[in-house]
Amino acid sequence: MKATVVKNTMLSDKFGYLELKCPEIAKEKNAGRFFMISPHSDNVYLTDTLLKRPFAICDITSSDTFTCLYMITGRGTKVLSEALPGNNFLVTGPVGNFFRFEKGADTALIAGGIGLAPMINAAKKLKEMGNKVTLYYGGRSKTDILMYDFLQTICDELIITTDDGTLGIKGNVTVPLTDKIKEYKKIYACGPNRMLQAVNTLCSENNVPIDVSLDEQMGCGVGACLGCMITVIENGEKVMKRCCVEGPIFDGTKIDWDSLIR
Amino acid sequence: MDRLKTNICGVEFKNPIIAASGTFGYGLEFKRFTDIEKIGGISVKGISLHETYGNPMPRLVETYAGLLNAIGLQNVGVEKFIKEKLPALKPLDTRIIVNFWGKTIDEYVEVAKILDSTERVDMLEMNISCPNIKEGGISFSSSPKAVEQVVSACKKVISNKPLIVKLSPNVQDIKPFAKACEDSGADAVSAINTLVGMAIDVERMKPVLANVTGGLSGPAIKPVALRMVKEVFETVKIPVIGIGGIGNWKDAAEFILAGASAVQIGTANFINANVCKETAEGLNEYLERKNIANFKEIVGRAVSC
Repeated sequence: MKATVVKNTMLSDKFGYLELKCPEIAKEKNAGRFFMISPHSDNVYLTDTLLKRPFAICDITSSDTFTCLYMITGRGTKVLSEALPGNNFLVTGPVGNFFRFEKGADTALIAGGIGLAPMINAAKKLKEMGNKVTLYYGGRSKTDILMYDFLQTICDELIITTDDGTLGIKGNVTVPLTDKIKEYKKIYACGPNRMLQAVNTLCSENNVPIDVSLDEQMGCGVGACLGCMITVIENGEKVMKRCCVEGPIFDGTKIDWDSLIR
Repeated sequence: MDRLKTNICGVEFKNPIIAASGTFGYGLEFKRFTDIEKIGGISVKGISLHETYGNPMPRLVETYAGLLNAIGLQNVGVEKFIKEKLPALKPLDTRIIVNFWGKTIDEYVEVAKILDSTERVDMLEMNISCPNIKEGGISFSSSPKAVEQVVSACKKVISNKPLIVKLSPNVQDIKPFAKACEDSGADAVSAINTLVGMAIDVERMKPVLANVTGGLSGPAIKPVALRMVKEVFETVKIPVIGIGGIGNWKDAAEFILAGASAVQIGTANFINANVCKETAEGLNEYLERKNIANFKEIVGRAVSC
């Protein structure tokens, strides 16, 4: 299956925003699912980057277009950053599970860094359901906070934190969340594993349920290669789940966090 | 597509393209993304006597034109496979090859015996060469003598299905291993399994894979695999199934010309779920263009004297 580049915008020196045309993915109704994209255009297979990379479906922009947010970290994302309108990429999706929101429940979305990606779609979904949308969004510095103006248009409450205090509250997302955590019936979080672990600890201490969306390297994205296993604890036993099929969203309280922090 | 029809060890194949073990799950994971019935056969994830949980994470890392994996043969075990996975494959019009392995000769024999009497399983593929688990196979491919022992032990209990033995490339010379398989009654050999390699994370100053080393696959290994298929083809009379970095019809044609009676496609399934189907179509067009009635006519054409 192909996706055609509509627009590719650099948001900073390391973050980019790609709009793709692919009706099969754009028709997705749930938030939190992802797709796989081949890091070379027009179906050229003979290249040194091989595997498709997983990216969250960030926003659905029309009946046949959607977006993804990427951070340049390696060869694959470098290729994406150079994509031009009209380029075709091989994609697979939508794949994975999705956020199960409850109508009317007080919830908060928590995003750290590139973990913002699934939260844009999530915020829109919550709004559509008539829920209040609160987004905590943390980054290292002001330049890492992306799409600030846009986020204000889709959130009722936007709480920004930066590690260096150049924008919003100084510190990580748990700083403002600590005072407010008891107000929420459920938390949905996506970001670096250490941040997710900290948010999960805060939730556990306050008996607030939490679903986390994990970012794991994947081989196939469809459950065949067993390369993206997440260890969860079920009935006191460690069980391995495929991040691509049983995830990427897991009950945070069940994750074996020690196995994820490496 | 009569040009692609073949018969391997008495089993009819609509085309010689097989999805390689470990890359196609239990056969149905790709159902949403491709037409499985366009594929000649599927070699399912390596099955063992008992359920196996595999290696710790990280298990995968992409390298230049390659993929290093150390999954560790995670599988549900033969009993669960037959009860929970195989029934779903029954209605599919494609050949089912079950890859299997054991930690001891007794385990190999036990699994082989069970699979041999299992309906719907068309062929068995013995893995004596997974580089990723300590007992799993590697010791059996350490010497031709050890290969002979495990293959002949399994052959004694297999009476219904043809046995393919999957060879390791991690040996000084693959030829005596292929010969040992043939001499101990193997009906076919497949070559090659992954090449042992490693990658290091320079920031953490540690190996990327939790298992330290892993098996390299993908286009990076194709020239090595092709050379080994040629060597095996020149050594044995039983059919050779070529594996290693195949990603399109041209790659498949190269393996056939080097002596492969069928090919398996692995890593490329992750990149393009339709790769097996497209390879079969491309191969058919190639044969048409070359006016060759069936690909069997050109098996080994580039190398045989």
